[in-house]
Amino acid sequence: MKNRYSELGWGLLIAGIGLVPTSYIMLRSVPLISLGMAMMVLGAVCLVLGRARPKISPEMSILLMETGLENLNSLLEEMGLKSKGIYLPSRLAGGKPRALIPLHSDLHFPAINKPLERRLIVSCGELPEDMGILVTTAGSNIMGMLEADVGTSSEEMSTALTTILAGILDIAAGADIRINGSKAEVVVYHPRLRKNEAYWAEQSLGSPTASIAASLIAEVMNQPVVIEEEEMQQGEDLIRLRLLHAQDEK
Amino acid sequence: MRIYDSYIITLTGLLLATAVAFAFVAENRLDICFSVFLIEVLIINELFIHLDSRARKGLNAVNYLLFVGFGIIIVDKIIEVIWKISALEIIWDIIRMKALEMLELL
Repeated sequence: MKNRYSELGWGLLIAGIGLVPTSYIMLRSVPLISLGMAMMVLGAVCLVLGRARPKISPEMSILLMETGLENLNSLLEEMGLKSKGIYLPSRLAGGKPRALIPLHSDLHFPAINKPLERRLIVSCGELPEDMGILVTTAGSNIMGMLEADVGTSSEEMSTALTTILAGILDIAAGADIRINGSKAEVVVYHPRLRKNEAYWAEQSLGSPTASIAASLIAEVMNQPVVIEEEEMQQGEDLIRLRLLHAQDEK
Repeated sequence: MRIYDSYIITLTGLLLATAVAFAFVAENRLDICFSVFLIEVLIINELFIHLDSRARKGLNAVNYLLFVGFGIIIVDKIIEVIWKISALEIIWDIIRMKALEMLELL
Protein backbone atom coordinates (compact mmCIF):
# COMPACT_ATOMS: atom_id res chain seq x y z
CA MET A 1 0.00 0.00 0.00
CA LYS A 2 1.52 3.31 -1.10
CA ASN A 3 2.36 5.89 1.49
CA ARG A 4 0.67 9.02 0.17
CA TYR A 5 2.06 11.20 2.93
CA SER A 6 5.66 10.32 2.03
CA GLU A 7 5.01 10.91 -1.67
CA LEU A 8 3.48 14.30 -0.92
CA GLY A 9 6.35 15.11 1.44
CA TRP A 10 9.03 14.33 -1.11
CA GLY A 11 7.21 16.34 -3.76
CA LEU A 12 6.86 19.41 -1.55
CA LEU A 13 10.42 19.15 -0.24
CA ILE A 14 12.00 18.85 -3.67
CA ALA A 15 9.82 21.63 -5.07
CA GLY A 16 10.72 23.87 -2.14
CA ILE A 17 14.44 23.12 -2.42
CA GLY A 18 14.26 24.00 -6.12
CA LEU A 19 12.15 27.11 -5.61
CA VAL A 20 14.23 28.81 -2.90
CA PRO A 21 17.58 29.16 -4.74
CA THR A 22 15.87 29.78 -8.08
CA SER A 23 13.80 32.60 -6.58
CA TYR A 24 16.83 34.10 -4.84
CA ILE A 25 19.35 33.80 -7.65
CA MET A 26 17.25 34.35 -10.76
CA LEU A 27 14.04 36.08 -9.71
CA ARG A 28 15.08 37.96 -6.54
CA SER A 29 11.54 37.52 -5.29
CA VAL A 30 11.11 37.40 -1.50
CA PRO A 31 7.48 36.14 -1.63
CA LEU A 32 8.54 33.17 -3.74
CA ILE A 33 11.45 32.46 -1.41
CA SER A 34 9.08 32.45 1.57
CA LEU A 35 6.71 30.20 -0.38
CA GLY A 36 9.62 27.83 -1.05
CA MET A 37 10.48 27.81 2.67
CA ALA A 38 6.86 27.01 3.55
CA MET A 39 6.87 24.14 1.04
CA MET A 40 10.05 22.74 2.57
CA VAL A 41 8.53 22.84 6.07
CA LEU A 42 5.34 21.17 4.83
CA GLY A 43 7.37 18.56 2.95
CA ALA A 44 9.35 17.70 6.08
CA VAL A 45 6.15 17.45 8.13
CA CYS A 46 4.48 15.16 5.56
CA LEU A 47 7.56 12.90 5.46
CA VAL A 48 7.54 12.61 9.22
CA LEU A 49 3.82 11.79 9.32
CA GLY A 50 4.32 9.25 6.53
CA ARG A 51 6.81 7.38 8.69
CA ALA A 52 4.51 7.55 11.72
CA ARG A 53 1.39 6.09 10.14
CA PRO A 54 0.49 2.48 11.02
CA LYS A 55 2.24 -0.19 8.99
CA ILE A 56 -0.87 -2.40 8.86
CA SER A 57 -3.52 -1.24 6.45
CA PRO A 58 -6.99 -0.36 7.80
CA GLU A 59 -8.44 -3.30 5.86
CA MET A 60 -6.10 -5.72 7.63
CA SER A 61 -6.96 -4.19 11.00
CA ILE A 62 -10.68 -4.66 10.29
CA LEU A 63 -10.04 -8.24 9.21
CA LEU A 64 -8.20 -9.06 12.44
CA MET A 65 -10.82 -7.35 14.59
CA GLU A 66 -13.76 -9.07 12.91
CA THR A 67 -12.02 -12.46 13.12
CA GLY A 68 -11.50 -12.05 16.86
CA LEU A 69 -15.05 -10.83 17.40
CA GLU A 70 -16.55 -13.70 15.44
CA ASN A 71 -14.56 -16.27 17.42
CA LEU A 72 -15.65 -14.73 20.71
CA ASN A 73 -19.17 -14.47 19.38
CA SER A 74 -19.22 -18.20 18.58
CA LEU A 75 -17.94 -19.05 22.04
CA LEU A 76 -20.56 -16.94 23.81
CA GLU A 77 -23.36 -18.15 21.56
CA GLU A 78 -22.41 -21.77 22.16
CA MET A 79 -22.40 -21.21 25.90
CA GLY A 80 -25.66 -19.24 25.72
CA LEU A 81 -24.14 -16.29 27.56
CA LYS A 82 -25.86 -12.92 27.37
CA SER A 83 -24.85 -11.48 30.73
CA LYS A 84 -23.17 -8.11 30.91
CA GLY A 85 -19.40 -8.20 30.98
CA ILE A 86 -17.52 -6.71 33.91
CA TYR A 87 -14.44 -4.77 32.88
CA LEU A 88 -11.67 -5.45 35.39
CA PRO A 89 -8.49 -3.41 35.95
CA SER A 90 -5.14 -5.14 35.51
CA ARG A 91 -4.82 -5.45 39.30
CA LEU A 92 -7.71 -7.96 39.30
CA ALA A 93 -7.32 -9.52 35.87
CA GLY A 94 -3.77 -10.78 35.78
CA GLY A 95 -1.59 -8.11 34.23
CA LYS A 96 -3.85 -6.23 31.85
CA PRO A 97 -7.45 -5.03 31.78
CA ARG A 98 -9.84 -7.82 30.81
CA ALA A 99 -13.55 -8.46 30.88
CA LEU A 100 -15.28 -11.09 32.95
CA ILE A 101 -18.55 -12.45 31.59
CA PRO A 102 -20.48 -14.13 34.43
CA LEU A 103 -21.94 -17.49 33.57
CA HIS A 104 -25.22 -16.56 35.20
CA SER A 105 -27.48 -13.97 33.68
CA ASP A 106 -29.01 -12.40 36.75
CA LEU A 107 -28.18 -8.84 37.74
CA HIS A 108 -26.02 -9.78 40.72
CA PHE A 109 -22.44 -8.77 40.03
CA PRO A 110 -20.04 -10.72 42.25
CA ALA A 111 -17.77 -8.62 44.45
CA ILE A 112 -14.30 -9.14 42.98
CA ASN A 113 -11.68 -8.07 45.46
CA LYS A 114 -8.73 -10.29 44.69
CA PRO A 115 -6.88 -11.08 41.46
CA LEU A 116 -8.50 -13.72 39.34
CA GLU A 117 -6.65 -16.67 37.90
CA ARG A 118 -5.32 -16.19 34.39
CA ARG A 119 -7.56 -18.77 32.82
CA LEU A 120 -10.55 -18.77 30.52
CA ILE A 121 -13.07 -20.09 33.04
CA VAL A 122 -12.51 -18.62 36.49
CA SER A 123 -14.17 -18.50 39.85
CA CYS A 124 -15.00 -14.92 40.68
CA GLY A 125 -16.81 -14.98 44.01
CA GLU A 126 -17.58 -16.85 47.19
CA LEU A 127 -20.62 -18.75 45.91
CA PRO A 128 -20.20 -21.87 43.76
CA GLU A 129 -22.24 -20.30 40.95
CA ASP A 130 -19.91 -17.27 40.79
CA MET A 131 -18.08 -18.43 37.71
CA GLY A 132 -17.32 -16.58 34.53
CA ILE A 133 -15.14 -16.46 31.47
CA LEU A 134 -12.26 -14.01 31.39
CA VAL A 135 -11.66 -12.55 27.95
CA THR A 136 -9.29 -10.09 26.37
CA THR A 137 -11.12 -7.23 24.68
CA ALA A 138 -10.35 -4.37 22.30
CA GLY A 139 -9.50 -2.23 25.30
CA SER A 140 -7.11 -4.67 26.96
CA ASN A 141 -3.98 -3.39 25.26
CA ILE A 142 -4.74 0.29 25.04
CA MET A 143 -2.92 1.44 28.15
CA GLY A 144 0.37 0.50 26.50
CA MET A 145 -0.43 2.97 23.72
CA LEU A 146 -0.41 5.92 26.08
CA GLU A 147 2.88 7.59 26.86
CA ALA A 148 2.15 8.75 30.38
CA ASP A 149 0.00 7.63 33.28
CA VAL A 150 -3.55 8.96 33.28
CA GLY A 151 -4.94 10.76 36.31
CA THR A 152 -8.37 10.09 37.77
CA SER A 153 -9.90 13.44 36.85
CA SER A 154 -12.55 13.50 34.11
CA GLU A 155 -10.47 15.91 32.02
CA GLU A 156 -7.39 13.71 32.03
CA MET A 157 -9.39 10.62 31.16
CA SER A 158 -11.18 12.53 28.38
CA THR A 159 -7.83 13.61 26.96
CA ALA A 160 -6.46 10.06 27.15
CA LEU A 161 -9.56 8.59 25.48
CA THR A 162 -9.50 11.23 22.73
CA THR A 163 -5.81 10.49 22.13
CA ILE A 164 -6.60 6.79 21.76
CA LEU A 165 -9.76 7.10 19.65
CA ALA A 166 -8.77 10.05 17.44
CA GLY A 167 -4.99 10.23 17.53
CA ILE A 168 -3.99 6.57 17.57
CA LEU A 169 -6.89 4.42 16.32
CA ASP A 170 -8.68 7.03 14.17
CA ILE A 171 -12.15 5.64 14.99
CA ALA A 172 -13.74 8.81 16.35
CA ALA A 173 -13.27 12.57 16.40
CA GLY A 174 -13.02 12.83 20.17
CA ALA A 175 -14.55 11.84 23.48
CA ASP A 176 -15.67 13.25 26.81
CA ILE A 177 -15.85 11.38 30.10
CA ARG A 178 -17.88 12.53 33.09
CA ILE A 179 -17.60 10.63 36.38
CA ASN A 180 -20.20 11.20 39.09
CA GLY A 181 -19.78 8.88 42.04
CA SER A 182 -20.53 5.39 40.82
CA LYS A 183 -21.84 6.53 37.43
CA ALA A 184 -19.80 7.41 34.40
CA GLU A 185 -20.94 8.85 31.11
CA VAL A 186 -18.86 8.78 27.96
CA VAL A 187 -19.74 10.75 24.84
CA VAL A 188 -17.91 9.71 21.68
CA TYR A 189 -18.08 12.24 18.84
CA HIS A 190 -18.43 11.06 15.25
CA PRO A 191 -17.69 7.39 15.94
CA ARG A 192 -16.79 5.27 12.96
CA LEU A 193 -17.41 1.90 14.61
CA ARG A 194 -21.02 1.39 15.60
CA LYS A 195 -22.46 -1.35 17.73
CA ASN A 196 -23.58 -4.48 15.88
CA GLU A 197 -26.52 -5.85 17.87
CA ALA A 198 -26.39 -9.12 15.96
CA TYR A 199 -23.12 -10.04 17.68
CA TRP A 200 -23.58 -11.82 21.04
CA ALA A 201 -20.15 -10.58 22.00
CA GLU A 202 -21.21 -6.97 21.57
CA GLN A 203 -24.39 -7.52 23.56
CA SER A 204 -22.21 -8.64 26.50
CA LEU A 205 -19.19 -6.43 26.05
CA GLY A 206 -20.53 -3.45 24.12
CA SER A 207 -19.20 -2.00 20.90
CA PRO A 208 -15.40 -1.86 20.41
CA THR A 209 -15.49 1.87 21.22
CA ALA A 210 -17.45 1.27 24.45
CA SER A 211 -15.10 -1.58 25.30
CA ILE A 212 -12.08 0.70 24.98
CA ALA A 213 -13.73 3.40 27.10
CA ALA A 214 -14.74 0.88 29.79
CA SER A 215 -11.25 -0.65 29.92
CA LEU A 216 -9.68 2.78 30.28
CA ILE A 217 -12.03 3.84 33.08
CA ALA A 218 -11.61 0.51 34.90
CA GLU A 219 -7.83 0.73 34.70
CA VAL A 220 -7.55 4.39 35.68
CA MET A 221 -10.14 4.22 38.49
CA ASN A 222 -8.79 0.78 39.50
CA GLN A 223 -12.33 -0.56 39.87
CA PRO A 224 -14.56 -2.99 37.99
CA VAL A 225 -16.83 -1.24 35.48
CA VAL A 226 -19.99 -2.39 33.72
CA ILE A 227 -21.45 -0.92 30.55
CA GLU A 228 -25.10 -0.30 31.34
CA GLU A 229 -26.32 1.30 28.17
CA GLU A 230 -25.19 2.50 24.77
CA GLU A 231 -27.22 5.06 22.89
CA MET A 232 -26.41 5.85 19.30
CA GLN A 233 -27.43 9.30 18.22
CA GLN A 234 -26.69 11.38 15.16
CA GLY A 235 -23.02 12.14 15.23
CA GLU A 236 -22.30 10.79 18.71
CA ASP A 237 -22.55 7.76 20.92
CA LEU A 238 -23.56 8.03 24.56
CA ILE A 239 -22.23 5.25 26.79
CA ARG A 240 -23.41 4.91 30.38
CA LEU A 241 -21.23 2.90 32.75
CA ARG A 242 -21.29 1.96 36.40
CA LEU A 243 -18.27 1.64 38.70
CA LEU A 244 -19.04 -1.36 40.86
CA HIS A 245 -17.14 -0.48 44.00
CA ALA A 246 -17.56 3.31 44.02
CA GLN A 247 -19.79 5.15 46.45
CA ASP A 248 -22.50 7.39 45.10
CA GLU A 249 -22.01 11.03 45.96
CA LYS A 250 -24.57 12.30 48.44
CA MET B 1 -5.48 8.94 9.34
CA ARG B 2 -7.95 11.81 9.64
CA ILE B 3 -6.05 13.63 12.34
CA TYR B 4 -2.96 13.67 10.10
CA ASP B 5 -5.05 15.12 7.27
CA SER B 6 -6.45 17.82 9.59
CA TYR B 7 -2.95 18.65 10.77
CA ILE B 8 -1.55 18.97 7.25
CA ILE B 9 -4.49 21.03 6.00
CA THR B 10 -4.33 23.38 9.00
CA LEU B 11 -0.57 23.87 8.75
CA THR B 12 -0.71 24.33 4.98
CA GLY B 13 -3.45 26.93 5.24
CA LEU B 14 -1.62 28.83 7.96
CA LEU B 15 1.81 28.84 6.32
CA LEU B 16 0.52 29.76 2.87
CA ALA B 17 -1.77 32.46 4.27
CA THR B 18 1.24 33.89 6.09
CA ALA B 19 3.31 33.85 2.88
CA VAL B 20 0.49 35.67 1.06
CA ALA B 21 0.16 38.19 3.92
CA PHE B 22 3.89 38.92 3.82
CA ALA B 23 3.71 39.41 0.05
CA PHE B 24 0.71 41.74 0.51
CA VAL B 25 2.55 43.97 2.97
CA ALA B 26 5.76 43.75 0.88
CA GLU B 27 7.77 42.28 3.75
CA ASN B 28 11.29 41.66 2.42
CA ARG B 29 12.98 40.32 5.52
CA LEU B 30 13.32 36.56 5.22
CA ASP B 31 14.38 36.17 8.84
CA ILE B 32 10.99 37.54 9.93
CA CYS B 33 9.22 35.10 7.58
CA PHE B 34 11.20 32.16 8.92
CA SER B 35 10.62 33.17 12.54
CA VAL B 36 6.86 33.49 11.99
CA PHE B 37 6.78 30.08 10.25
CA LEU B 38 8.62 28.56 13.22
CA ILE B 39 6.16 30.04 15.70
CA GLU B 40 3.20 28.81 13.65
CA VAL B 41 4.60 25.27 13.45
CA LEU B 42 5.15 25.25 17.22
CA ILE B 43 1.61 26.50 17.89
CA ILE B 44 -0.02 23.93 15.57
CA ASN B 45 2.06 21.14 17.14
CA GLU B 46 0.83 22.18 20.57
CA LEU B 47 -2.81 22.42 19.44
CA PHE B 48 -2.78 18.91 17.99
CA ILE B 49 -2.08 17.22 21.31
CA HIS B 50 -3.91 14.03 20.37
CA LEU B 51 -1.34 12.89 17.80
CA ASP B 52 0.24 9.54 18.60
CA SER B 53 3.72 9.32 20.11
CA ARG B 54 5.52 8.36 16.89
CA ALA B 55 4.10 11.35 15.04
CA ARG B 56 4.99 13.65 17.94
CA LYS B 57 8.57 12.41 18.01
CA GLY B 58 8.93 13.02 14.29
CA LEU B 59 7.40 16.49 14.56
CA ASN B 60 9.77 17.28 17.45
CA ALA B 61 12.65 16.47 15.08
CA VAL B 62 11.22 18.99 12.58
CA ASN B 63 10.99 21.53 15.42
CA TYR B 64 14.66 20.97 16.28
CA LEU B 65 15.67 21.53 12.65
CA LEU B 66 13.67 24.76 12.53
CA PHE B 67 15.30 25.85 15.78
CA VAL B 68 18.72 25.26 14.23
CA GLY B 69 17.70 27.58 11.38
CA PHE B 70 16.47 30.11 13.93
CA GLY B 71 19.77 29.83 15.75
CA ILE B 72 21.64 30.61 12.54
CA ILE B 73 19.49 33.75 12.11
CA ILE B 74 20.25 34.82 15.70
CA VAL B 75 23.99 34.31 15.22
CA ASP B 76 23.84 36.32 11.99
CA LYS B 77 22.08 39.16 13.80
CA ILE B 78 24.67 39.14 16.58
CA ILE B 79 27.47 39.29 13.99
CA GLU B 80 25.65 42.15 12.27
CA VAL B 81 25.38 44.10 15.53
CA ILE B 82 29.01 43.56 16.51
CA TRP B 83 30.82 43.73 13.18
CA LYS B 84 28.20 45.58 11.11
CA ILE B 85 28.18 42.88 8.40
CA SER B 86 25.56 40.26 7.58
CA ALA B 87 27.24 36.89 7.25
CA LEU B 88 24.17 35.27 5.67
CA GLU B 89 23.92 37.94 2.98
CA ILE B 90 27.61 37.56 2.15
CA ILE B 91 27.23 33.79 1.88
CA TRP B 92 24.10 34.12 -0.27
CA ASP B 93 25.80 36.66 -2.55
CA ILE B 94 28.79 34.34 -3.02
CA ILE B 95 26.45 31.43 -3.84
CA ARG B 96 24.52 33.67 -6.24
CA MET B 97 27.67 34.79 -8.03
CA LYS B 98 28.98 31.25 -8.37
CA ALA B 99 25.60 30.04 -9.66
CA LEU B 100 25.43 32.82 -12.25
CA GLU B 101 28.99 32.05 -13.35
CA MET B 102 28.09 28.41 -13.82
CA LEU B 103 24.97 29.36 -15.78
CA GLU B 104 27.04 31.65 -18.04
CA LEU B 105 29.48 28.81 -18.71
CA LEU B 106 26.58 26.59 -19.72
